[in-house]
Amino acid sequence: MSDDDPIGAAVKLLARLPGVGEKSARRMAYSLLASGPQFAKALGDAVASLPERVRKCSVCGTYTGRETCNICSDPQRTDDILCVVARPWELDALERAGSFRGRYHVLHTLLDPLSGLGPEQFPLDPLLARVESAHTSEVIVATPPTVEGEATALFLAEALRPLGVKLSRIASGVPHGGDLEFVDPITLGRALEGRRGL
Amino acid sequence: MTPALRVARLVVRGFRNLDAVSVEPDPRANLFVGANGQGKTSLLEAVDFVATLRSFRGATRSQLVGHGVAQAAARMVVEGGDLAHEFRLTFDRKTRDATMDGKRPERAVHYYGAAACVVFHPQDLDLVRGSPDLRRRLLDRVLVRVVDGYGEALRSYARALKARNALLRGATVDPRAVAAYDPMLARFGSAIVRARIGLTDELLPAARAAADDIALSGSEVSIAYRTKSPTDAGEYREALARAYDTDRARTLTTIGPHADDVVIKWSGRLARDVASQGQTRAIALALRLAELEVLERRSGRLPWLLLDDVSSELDRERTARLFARIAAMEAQLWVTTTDPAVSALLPDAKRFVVHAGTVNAQ
Ligand SMILES: Nc1ncnc2c1ncn2[C@@H]1O[C@H](COP(=O)(O)OP(=O)(O)OP(=O)(O)O)[C@@H](O)[C@H]1O
Ligand SMILES: [Mg+2]
Ligand SMILES: [Zn+2]
Repeated sequence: MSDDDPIGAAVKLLARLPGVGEKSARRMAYSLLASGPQFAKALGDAVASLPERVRKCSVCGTYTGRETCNICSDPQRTDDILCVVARPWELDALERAGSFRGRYHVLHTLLDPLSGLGPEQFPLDPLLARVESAHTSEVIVATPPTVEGEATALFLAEALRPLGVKLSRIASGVPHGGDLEFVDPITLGRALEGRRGL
Repeated sequence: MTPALRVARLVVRGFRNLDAVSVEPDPRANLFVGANGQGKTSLLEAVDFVATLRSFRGATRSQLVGHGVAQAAARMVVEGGDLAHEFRLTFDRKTRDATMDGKRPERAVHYYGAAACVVFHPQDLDLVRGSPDLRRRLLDRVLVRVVDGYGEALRSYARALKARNALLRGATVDPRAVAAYDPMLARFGSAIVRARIGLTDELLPAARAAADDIALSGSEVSIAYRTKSPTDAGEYREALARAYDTDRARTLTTIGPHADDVVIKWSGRLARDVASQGQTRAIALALRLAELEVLERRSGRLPWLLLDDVSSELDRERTARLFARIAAMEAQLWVTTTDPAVSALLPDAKRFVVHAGTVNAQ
């Protein structure tokens, strides 16, 4: 079918990306055609090489071109405080805010039993192991202020409590239902300062 | 006098049997006449759907999209109060997109509050006799429009509840994961219950007055919100924890606003047990008129009123009284009927003919 309808095939794939509906996927496909073969080729190569050139950091799980990411290999940062985020781009947003000097842990997921991610599927053990082995004294849970983000934070708090670490949650400044990604750096910096106990 | 909200224009396409409908209603009274199955209820349902993003017939989006049509679309301009607002809605079986003045509204109350209408339709008998969710919905219709954050609380509550129940249904249950939803349920649930209790207290005198007015002489209507949930978030959380074993056994959350009801009594007895057909209609109508009055008082704007098939609902005298009461309020009216004789009750109304999914001014 892609032989007969290459545009339709491209639209189908593009529409699988988050935030892209059928309509914008179609616009993208036509825009790619209009901007000529070089751009389409460059985009295709960049996309195709992503899985080979990028992997998950062996320590924190964020995406990096190397075995361990810049943050994990930075000797200036403290192991005392660990900030847990759900997604790599939330880590990026916190870094842009620039006020945090500890380490990160990227879950790549949230507790979400409605989408088949219950407590059994949740990647809890790597986090627990890391907190124990790095002698972390404080864990900040910076999951988004959504139902899934809040539930994840409380679930983590219960799971971490036996380890005796100080627990806090990023508090004010991030609107409920908002996406951490879209919060400006200042708000986020304040949010990080204003963390409260869990 | 409170400014009245009025629909200045409605365009609908692909909704139920409505195809390319464009209506410019009169600021006051509008009468839609048509035989059975032509699209009268669908028209009112479309208006209310744009305003509430829910079907008053309880239909899903799949049921609303026109047969053989990919997408339903509507545009509605509402005047009155401060500015005119333009609502646009498109939806299909899977997705929905609603905008107000070209943007997705930042807060639910901005959208719902600017499109406040009240509907009275034949299935409203179920307000008295049907399941509790219809009565909770009566309260929620008002609250999403007048309480900032209420719509968001309802949504978050429903999501957290669904997730908690999914965990309780699992083969093995992790109590830590179940409890992770308790603080949210307590926060949103107690706020919802508080708001609903306050509103029920406010609806009561308004419903009584309306019931007297449309001839329920001698018998008193009463309504009371019934809940097992504490109104204090802390106590609510404790109640959830106490109910854990029960919830586990029943594999669902037993406490919360989703399990609440509005008890309607008539002369001290449950209305659904003792009220006659006509009395049941009058009680339902009184509740709708109370909805309108409280909405007006709380929002400072008079909602418009959609009355579906009203002649089949009430006898002539009660219908006349109802219209007299409504006429005194200056609300914009959308009245549908199969009976052209209803015209006599609304002599100044703009008349439309509804036929095979089309609506045309006469
Ligand atoms: N999704 C849909 N697509 C197309 N037609 C539909 C859809 N759902 C319902 N219908 C049809 O639309 C028509 C109009 O229904 P509606 O309930 O609006 O009629 P009505 O004018 O209110 O009739 P009545 O006087 O009997 O109440 C009916 O024939 C119904 O079967
Ligand atoms: Mg009808
Ligand atoms: Zn790393």
